[in-house]
Amino acid sequence: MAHTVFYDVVERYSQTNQGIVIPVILRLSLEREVRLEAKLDTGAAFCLFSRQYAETLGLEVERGHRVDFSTAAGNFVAYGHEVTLVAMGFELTGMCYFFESVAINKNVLGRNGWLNKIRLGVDDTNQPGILYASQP
Amino acid sequence: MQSIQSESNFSSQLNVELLRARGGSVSGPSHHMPWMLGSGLMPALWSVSSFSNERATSPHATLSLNEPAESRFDPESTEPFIPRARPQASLQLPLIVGPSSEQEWLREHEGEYRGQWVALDGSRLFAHGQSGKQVFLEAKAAGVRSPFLVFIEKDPLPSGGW
Repeated sequence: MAHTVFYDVVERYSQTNQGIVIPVILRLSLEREVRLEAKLDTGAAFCLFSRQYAETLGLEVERGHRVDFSTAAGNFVAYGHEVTLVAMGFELTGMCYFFESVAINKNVLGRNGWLNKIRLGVDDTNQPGILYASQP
Repeated sequence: MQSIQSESNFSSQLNVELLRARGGSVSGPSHHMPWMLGSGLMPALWSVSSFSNERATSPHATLSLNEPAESRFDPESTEPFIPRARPQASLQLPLIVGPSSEQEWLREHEGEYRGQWVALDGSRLFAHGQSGKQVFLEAKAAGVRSPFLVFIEKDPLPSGGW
């Protein structure tokens, strides 16, 4: 049975062994923004970013909403701040989390705040290197 | 809007088919994007202005219109060429983006800056070092409004997710 889906944006990403990595902008205002790369992670509950990005935006990390996260490799703490996130052309404002530890240099786009705000298409078998997206 | 059907005979050139089906075509380096960005043709929810111009006009933004034949320039015609208004269907063409020029720079040069933060703007490196914030501030001081800041892993192991 065919299932019809509509998409407005086609994003081409580099095919490396680092997963699906796309450009992202984190923004507090026009003068306070930083661009970076983040990994698409359907297994992550939230959008998580390295602490350094919060600091470049002038955020005091520990003043945010503290959450303890668990992973296959152990637990970590991150703090949530309301930030505007731009990825694949869609601008979304919501809670993004920043690692407490300066040693964790990871950026992931997870469910809350991103995957649950857009409609995303991946066909890594027939269309590797291409993502499709639209806003529902 | 164009539909994408999840069937086993999914086209291996789906993005091309997507554009063709919408009355568009895929071409080489596009010079069409600037007018599209500034003409209000993007859906309101898109924050296209937040992309750098370099990215929006990169060779990867391969969006062009398949305009009606009568509106195309005919080099053999002696009549003055008057371009017609773009067809309404052009409003529904998808935006094709990425990888950014910064990402392409990273793929080429990341081996030279392992274990460091780098700040880029387009394909130009503005600063690198051990402190992400310091590198960011150096790029800002050099006049970059929105630096592309990335930490390049010391050991490029395959990602194991979480």
